[in-house]
Amino acid sequence: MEELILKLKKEIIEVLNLEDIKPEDIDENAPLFGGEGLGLDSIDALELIVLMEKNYGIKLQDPNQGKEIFKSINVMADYISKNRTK
Amino acid sequence: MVVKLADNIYSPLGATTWENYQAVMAGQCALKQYSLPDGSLYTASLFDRILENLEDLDKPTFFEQICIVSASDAIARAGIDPKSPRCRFFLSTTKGNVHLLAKGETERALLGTSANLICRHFGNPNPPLVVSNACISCLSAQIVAMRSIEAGLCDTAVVIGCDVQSEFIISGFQCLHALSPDQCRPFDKDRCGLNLGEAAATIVYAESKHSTLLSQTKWVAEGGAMCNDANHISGPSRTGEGSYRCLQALDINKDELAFISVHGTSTLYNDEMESIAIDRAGLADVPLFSLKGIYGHTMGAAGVLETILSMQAVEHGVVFGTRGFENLGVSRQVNVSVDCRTTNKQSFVKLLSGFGGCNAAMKFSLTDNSRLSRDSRDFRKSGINAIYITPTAEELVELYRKEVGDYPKFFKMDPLARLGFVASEMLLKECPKADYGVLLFNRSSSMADDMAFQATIQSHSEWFPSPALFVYTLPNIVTGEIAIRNHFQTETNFMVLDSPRTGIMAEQIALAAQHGPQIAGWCEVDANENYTAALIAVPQNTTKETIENELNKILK
Repeated sequence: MEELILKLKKEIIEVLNLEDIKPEDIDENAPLFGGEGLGLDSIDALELIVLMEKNYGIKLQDPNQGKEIFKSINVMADYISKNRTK
Repeated sequence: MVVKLADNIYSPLGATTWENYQAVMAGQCALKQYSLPDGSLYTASLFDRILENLEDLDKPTFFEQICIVSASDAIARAGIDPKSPRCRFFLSTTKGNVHLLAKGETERALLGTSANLICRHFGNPNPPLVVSNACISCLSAQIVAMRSIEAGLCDTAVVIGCDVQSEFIISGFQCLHALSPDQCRPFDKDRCGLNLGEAAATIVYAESKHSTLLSQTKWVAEGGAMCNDANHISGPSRTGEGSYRCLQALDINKDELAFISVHGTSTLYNDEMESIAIDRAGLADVPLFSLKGIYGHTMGAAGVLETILSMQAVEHGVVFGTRGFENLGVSRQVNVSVDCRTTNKQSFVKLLSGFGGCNAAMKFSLTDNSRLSRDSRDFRKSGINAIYITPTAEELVELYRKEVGDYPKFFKMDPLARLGFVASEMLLKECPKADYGVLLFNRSSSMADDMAFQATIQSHSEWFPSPALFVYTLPNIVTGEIAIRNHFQTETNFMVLDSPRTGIMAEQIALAAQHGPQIAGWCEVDANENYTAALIAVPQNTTKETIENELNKILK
């Protein structure tokens, strides 16, 4: 899990262009969206849906599912480990 | 006074305005279901045509052909001479020939290349102006044409709006989860996204005193307004701010309005936003309809197509119904027209909004008694601040760190938005605070980002269209980024030329500056990522001559 969490952090930093943020700066339990944490927005959420499909073979049909899955890095990693097809 | 001389709609429902009006009244629509390479379904209103990969690039493409067909009909009906130096062409499009990027044809895909080809077809001696302001392009182009006529830059204006669909556009909207697999349902509680459509539509305007055919003209373009939400590059304002301000800026007596022809894309957020804006403007009881359930969203054509059909409706004493609408699904009690009804009123408002936070509204009246006084042109000379930068991509990041540094969103922007953002930040440091309009020009539109997005859909086996790239595949997003950063809630617009023609740019900047101070100029990132920004801060009512001198100085 530790390995997946680190990989996921690196992927998120790259795909969302989070310049000046290092993996260790991201709190695994902090919310990804909204004012706290990384403060991501709606377009970032859609990009994370693409990341899930491209890198882990998980296709989310309903973007609203993302609200639960992208709560934090830990929640996301847990979902990926249970549902990944690649 | 700017009057309409003639028009044309060329769509899957017909080749003339009259054919289209009859089709709408007969309840027809050309929406059909199709699928994308990843198997996802979408519904669109498309022409039946030979596949684009058979196109001969030395000849007009399908996009250019339908522009020419539409404009030919409108020009013939108007009885104007398109070869006259007093006639100007305005092309409204968001993506033109973007499908050619799949074949690496970057030069042929430029909007200016298409506009020049169309203009040459008609023998017009003036450089055409492309207005590429997302989904409000076609109202922006009409407003720009109207102002150009009022200012005496031309006697007649041919405004062509057109977009054709391609994997590029459809996959982009799909990855934003904005498309409905089924026929769209504007303002309905069960609406779940938009349908795309394609069409070309043309409207010919003239200054009434130059029109020898005035007895035939009935429509007056009474006014237009553009306002930015300064909120988000793809999501509309939750308070309907920009659209509300547009409606406020028009001289509206609601008792005279037959209807509001809304954008009504059938997305959750757009229709909700429009209902709020209309309610805030005190127009909730005015009938409104959306034509998206018939034509889909025709993007760069929507503003002209929907304006022309609205004119037909008023002329026939009709308020259209809203195809797909059953139960109100927005928070405000707006008066959505379900089925066709009659009206004896003679004015209407056309409303649009688009990515980049832009909004536009125009008011039209069926009368020749309206008298519009020209904008008072109290020109005065003022100091103009300017900036000229040609950084590499790396130098631009360094400039950001040195000159700005506190806006991490910079790193999410595409090359064009990064360039315009940094240049505007540097320029504004020297300028008095004001609610500036933003009017930028370039040659390559959003080419650098278009190519990056194309790479994500180039292979059907590796089909991962990127939403973050797609939202920047409109050149006007840079104007939205500047508006958001500075909370500018007035006009934002983007125009494409084949080269930095300072005379034409100065004319348009001076016209915009009659309505308020402007951050304006050239902002270009080409296919090879060469960056050039030449921006000026123009005080209200600066003359064209002063602006042209400044542009010539910085652009050499």
